Amino acid sequence: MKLKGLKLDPKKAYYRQLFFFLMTVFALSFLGVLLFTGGYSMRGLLASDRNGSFMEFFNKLILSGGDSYRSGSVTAPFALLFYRCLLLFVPGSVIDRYVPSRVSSAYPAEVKIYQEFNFPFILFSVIAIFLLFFALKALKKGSGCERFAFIFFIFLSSPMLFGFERGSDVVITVALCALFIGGKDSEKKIVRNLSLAALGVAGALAVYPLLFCILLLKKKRFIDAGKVLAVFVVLTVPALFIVGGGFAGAAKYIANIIAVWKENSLLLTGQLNFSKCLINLFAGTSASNGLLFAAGNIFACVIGVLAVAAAFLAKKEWQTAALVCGLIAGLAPLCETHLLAFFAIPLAMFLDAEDANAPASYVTLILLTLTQALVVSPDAAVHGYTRMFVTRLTGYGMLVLVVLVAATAAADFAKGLFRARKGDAAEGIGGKAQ
Amino acid sequence: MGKKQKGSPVVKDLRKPHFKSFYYVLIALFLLLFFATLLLSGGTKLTAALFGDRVDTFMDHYNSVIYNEVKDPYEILVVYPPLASLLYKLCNIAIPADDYYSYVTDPSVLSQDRGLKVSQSFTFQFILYAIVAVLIFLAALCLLKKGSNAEKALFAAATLLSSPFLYMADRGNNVILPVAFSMIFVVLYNHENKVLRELGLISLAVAVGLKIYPLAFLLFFIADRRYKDLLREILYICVLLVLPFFIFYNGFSSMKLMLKNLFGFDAKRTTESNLAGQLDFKRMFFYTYGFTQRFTGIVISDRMREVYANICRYGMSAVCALGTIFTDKMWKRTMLIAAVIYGFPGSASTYILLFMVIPTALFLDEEKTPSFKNYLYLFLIVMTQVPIIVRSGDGYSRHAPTKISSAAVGLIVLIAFIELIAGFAAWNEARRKNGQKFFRSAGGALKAKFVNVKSAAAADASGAAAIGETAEPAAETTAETAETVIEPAAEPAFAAAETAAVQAETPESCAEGGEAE
Repeated sequence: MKLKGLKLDPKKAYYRQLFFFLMTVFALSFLGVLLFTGGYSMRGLLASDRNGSFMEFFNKLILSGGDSYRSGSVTAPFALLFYRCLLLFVPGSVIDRYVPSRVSSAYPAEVKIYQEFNFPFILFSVIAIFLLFFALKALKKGSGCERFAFIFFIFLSSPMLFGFERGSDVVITVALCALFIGGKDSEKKIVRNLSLAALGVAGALAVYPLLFCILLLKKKRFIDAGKVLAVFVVLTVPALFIVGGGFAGAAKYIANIIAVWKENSLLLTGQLNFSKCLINLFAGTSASNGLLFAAGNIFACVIGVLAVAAAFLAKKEWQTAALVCGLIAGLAPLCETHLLAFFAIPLAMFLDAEDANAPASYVTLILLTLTQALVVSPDAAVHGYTRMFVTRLTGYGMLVLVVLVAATAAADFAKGLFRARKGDAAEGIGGKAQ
Repeated sequence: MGKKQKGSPVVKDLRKPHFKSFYYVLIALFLLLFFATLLLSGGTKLTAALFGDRVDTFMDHYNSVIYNEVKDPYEILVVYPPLASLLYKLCNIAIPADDYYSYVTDPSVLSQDRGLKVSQSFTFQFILYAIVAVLIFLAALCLLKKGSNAEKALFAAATLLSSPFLYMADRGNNVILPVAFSMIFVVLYNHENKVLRELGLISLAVAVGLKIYPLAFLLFFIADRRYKDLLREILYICVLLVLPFFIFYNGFSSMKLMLKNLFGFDAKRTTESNLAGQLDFKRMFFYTYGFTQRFTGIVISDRMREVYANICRYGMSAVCALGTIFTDKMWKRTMLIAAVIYGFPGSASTYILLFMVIPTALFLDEEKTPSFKNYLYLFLIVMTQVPIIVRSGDGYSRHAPTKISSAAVGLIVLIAFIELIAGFAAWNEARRKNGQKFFRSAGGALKAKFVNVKSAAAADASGAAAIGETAEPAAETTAETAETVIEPAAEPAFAAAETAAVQAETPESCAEGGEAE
């Protein structure tokens, strides 16, 4: 009896099968290890602050009520306004009782106990989950089952779980970017404009999603890019004056970002960005901190410039999107694991668009999957689970992914150029012969 | 059909169904009002929307997880069925022991230390549970609700911001899962594909295994005379509800304990003194009695009050059951089942009203008859879903809002009761005209009900159907409206009208043919 179903067709690509197989294996092994270790393995996935669950949300929420930028906040003005609106649901007397000082950047974790603080959190979570669910549904093509499976695995991916545990608004930002990708080429004008507005809102919430405008610029959709920027400005400027303290607040906001960048550049305990990928290699050597800092930043700049150039040269949209996501996570002053959630977007685009069977594409898919996979590993140094290995794995994985995609995009471009020249030459010879 | 009647465009337009606009406008208005009131009050009126204990958020989940540390949680008054307990056991295993014991000294204590919500070890399993539960719920909702993606998203948004959902989220209750699995069951119940139909049956068994209440959906099988399916369903339920007692717990002993806990819980909740929150059918009587007593001065003895309250409870449940059996409209069936799920158990809580999402979705997709009664039903369903802030006495508590949603459920059952009576009267009238004896015709009619004969046409011809959606539009609609309203004649509200018509045409043969289903 022949098992036809098991016969692999060399001409056919098996990207979807590979992705779902890998994600299933990672998810099941994560759950198995979690139960087997009695829950201790979760420390290989989550932030090391054991009492810090959801605190990114609660800190921003409370901070939005005071002078945020003076307190060192790096939250964008529109995001602050969003949190200020949510804070309106918390009675002033309750805030005064539990968090009398609003000038800190970190608040007592005990606020999580009270319903008054939890209600805005529930609203926030409902908005985030709703947006992400329907955005991924709009982004991913294919059958209903495939879409749901994809959504399921992305929700249960490592960066998303990390983001949910921190209470990060990156979930909303990723959802808005996914909405942009899903609707930017729609035939309906209203859908197209709404998707542009979604990117504008994402930009207003976190600034860096504006990098997705590269997708518009490379197609010479300058008016559309202008619309995105217009939404960004319309949301950011008033918010800056309402909650950010005007231009002085803006200056402080930029100063805070630079301070965070300087403070965290040599901190190697968390997720690695481009500069930390280099610094980590030479951290044990005799190189001075200043040298490491400079070398790391030069390296990040080089990779960044290459990625931007490749993003413009790339023929395939998913390549551009992957490079943009690499820029977002790789150049972030404080790269957190949840920033890798952006890679869900090029992943969906890859699975829907890529059908040519190429080894490089398989490697790219594995690297993209790795950014989302639930991987935990024990750390012998602490006789338990830490994020040390996983953050290195995903950090270098991301770097290799960006380099690989950039190289492929450049190679494709060069090939196209070569063919075009060859064609011109042939045309020239043909013309002469005629 | 061919002739078009003249009339004002407004009147013509009103004859078309505007249920979706009506629903979304109502929901939007109530939500706007709710959030505006909350914001204007600086959040102080939140007390009218959520559970009274200000530090108990998510504790339904955390408490249940902690109880499952002991070998047999039924010894410590747990009322969840074993499948739910197993789910919580898995969550319990995912909490590192050192963190667990730094917060929990005695797992059997009813209310645990709320400070544990601070710890990552406790929150992570909750995050995993919540994500999986909400994903299953949203996926089921997308399967259930027809229409464009935008409409699905809109409906999902209305559901996620509904009063039962917000209350459920605040409590961290697991009702979201039984509701989701019930939705899957409803979607797959009449599916052409056998395997998917079977999956639907398993879904219902999972729902029952998690919360018991969805047992009421078994009425579907009785109504449609799908006894083989009913048997298989019972088998699945036994596997998921009964078998785990013997595999994971102490068998009959645990089962007895759970039932004892359940009845004890029920008896404790359904008392006359416990009228502050949501009202079940029994407490609806107590409340109405207390309310009317103030104005009329009528006094009923304690014993008789209890008797009447029980009559109210079982009577209203019987109305729901009969209504489910005698209607062919899925939205109406699920509405009455949701009503009995809410009203029969003593644990009536706001989050149980989440079951009303099922009839809402079905109503919006299926109902095409723009009758006053249907608008009234939709309005009442909406009233069970919207978050409302109303002043109760001196301040803002859940007293008044819970009474509004309870009254909505009560009114739904009341209208269903009136429909049943009217349907029965119409059917009896038709029987009398045909000169048939009561029992014979009743049996024949009921058997014939599910044979797909020209019942609708016959119903129109005989004019016997005075109630339900069958006769109303046929008699009243203009030719233009009749073109829009395609289905009403084919889907009578209560089978009495239909069966009367069936008898008029094919009294005996259909009775036999009914078995084929």
